[in-house]
Amino acid sequence: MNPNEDGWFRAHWTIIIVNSISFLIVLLLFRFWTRGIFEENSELYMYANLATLGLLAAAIFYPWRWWRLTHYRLTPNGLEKKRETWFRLDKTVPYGKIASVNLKRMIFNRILGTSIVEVHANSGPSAIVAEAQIYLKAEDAERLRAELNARISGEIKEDVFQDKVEAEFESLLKFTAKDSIIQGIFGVPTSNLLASFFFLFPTAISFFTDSQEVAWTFMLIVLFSYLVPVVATILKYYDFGVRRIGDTIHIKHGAIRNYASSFETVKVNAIRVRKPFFARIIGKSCIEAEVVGMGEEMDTPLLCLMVKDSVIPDVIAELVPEFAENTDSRRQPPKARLVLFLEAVISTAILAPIVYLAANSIVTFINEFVAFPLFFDFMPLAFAGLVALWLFYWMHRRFQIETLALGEETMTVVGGVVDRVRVTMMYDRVQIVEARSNPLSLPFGLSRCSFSMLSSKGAVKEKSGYFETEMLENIGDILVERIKSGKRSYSYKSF
Amino acid sequence: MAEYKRLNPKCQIAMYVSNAISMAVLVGIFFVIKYFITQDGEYTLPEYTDTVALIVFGILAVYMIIGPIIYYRRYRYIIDNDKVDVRQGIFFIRRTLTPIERIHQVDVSRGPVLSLLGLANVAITTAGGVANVTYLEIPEAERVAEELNALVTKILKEGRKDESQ
Repeated sequence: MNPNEDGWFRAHWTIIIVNSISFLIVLLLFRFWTRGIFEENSELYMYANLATLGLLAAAIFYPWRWWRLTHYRLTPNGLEKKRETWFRLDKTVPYGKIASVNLKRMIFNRILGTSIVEVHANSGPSAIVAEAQIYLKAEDAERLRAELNARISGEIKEDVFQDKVEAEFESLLKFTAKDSIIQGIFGVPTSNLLASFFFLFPTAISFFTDSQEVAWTFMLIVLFSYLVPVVATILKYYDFGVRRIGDTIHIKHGAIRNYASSFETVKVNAIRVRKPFFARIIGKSCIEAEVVGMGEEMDTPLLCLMVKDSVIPDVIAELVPEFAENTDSRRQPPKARLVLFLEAVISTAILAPIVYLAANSIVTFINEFVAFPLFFDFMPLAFAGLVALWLFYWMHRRFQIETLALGEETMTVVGGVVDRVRVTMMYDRVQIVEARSNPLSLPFGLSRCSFSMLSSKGAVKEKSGYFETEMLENIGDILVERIKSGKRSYSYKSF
Repeated sequence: MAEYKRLNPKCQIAMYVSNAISMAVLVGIFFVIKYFITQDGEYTLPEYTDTVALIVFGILAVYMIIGPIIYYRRYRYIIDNDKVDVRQGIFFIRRTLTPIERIHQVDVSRGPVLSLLGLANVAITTAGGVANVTYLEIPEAERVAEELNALVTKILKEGRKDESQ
């Protein structure tokens, strides 16, 4: 790392090797798999070899060029990165927005005597993707890290997610093994459940067509795709306990591996009350929290396992009263029903023929092995009809279910036809507000709004139903007004 | 109160060039797949394949021709001391509002096509996602990035001052 007179420096040259290797491996694999095709035709074989050589040269030339034309610099304001390749980039990461500076050493780093300096800003599309990854000699990487930390000085937030063995605390609610079993079985999104059981269909066909091995293979897929996550969830949330002490929420759980985490309530951007389909049948919901900076865990913490719906408001009032604001929900205007109806018509026009053709192919295939009764010939039409009915019912339910509540400090979005979800988020944690109208909703002056915020897994977007465009655009103006008036509780240091 | 600004008309040329490249790639992929499927004579595609492909590419071509005109006419943006407000879209109209205080970093980027036309894109990164202001003239893009970075730094310093008092 030898900065020039303007302070610009480059990454270590070994990054050329690192960037080339992945492409070279893919190229060699491709060449290996296609060797049978090209050797049959000598002219094509020659072209293939020439192309391979060309790509090999490119695999080395372009990483070299990237290394040569990419520079970094520490300025009074932040870390600058400049890339002058055909796809130019000028990026500045302000020191105040840097969440962490980490050093990483993988096997090839140890062999080559280098380290990777990773700069995380806890922002952007994914909080786990570093804003900058700089390959340097090990001692230079240490120096850069120290220099960055010195310049950040005082802006580094303490890692509140310390896995530590918590003293026994009295949980807000008593959760038993039965609760963790219910969470494991009923807490799974219905789409995952249906996807797992989808393989029951080919399993049955395979049994009928005497393909026992194939049938057992599909059966194993069903077992593993459903049972394993259920058992893992049960073990994970065994002995669940949650308590708020001051402004910190403490959670503990786990049968085999013990999880003990704490986070400040100021890190909670939103809470989500989730009711998957089968949980709704038994009248239970669970509460999740969108917490910033979970780091390696990458999980959305549960504040409460599946409990009776009537208990949920009390749990929220006790654990996160900041999100317990009572506001009236607005339903979608009557015009939205027409927009949703038109969407159902278009979806049906596209999906029903596809379903009909697919079902027809399957029935024809099965008929070759098993003689079905005559009415089975109408199965494709019946499936297409069912899909159409489902789509219209779906849109009808969307109109009934999707609501929006705008309070003083929070807003709540309700949605989900099958798995009901109610998300309550603080105005001050919303990063971007986007109101979007499509050709169907535009003539009626309606839009849907999406609210972007940071969550434990990076950026997440919550979407509303169809409401008046003016009203939705006003939400963005509310955010700006709160900032201008100083009313906001947003702290730049939190993010 | 700041007024909405419009894009440079050159953005349409940039979009036409990008669309032409995309169309060439899509057509190329179609012919390569068709060649590999049918080269041995073992498999044949349905007779209507070429007709369907022609219709699909025809619709895409119409979209790629009229899209840039509509995009240019609809695109509006405001960047002031409080917010970045962008209105854009061809068939799907959206208004994206990003408070300045939420901004973490600002990037200016341009590929070879934009470089030739003297245009650039500004990507505004927040904790919750990225908002883009596209097809600005390079000096304008750099000025916007510089001003936004200065505003962000100013807000950070004011925040530090509040905390120390």
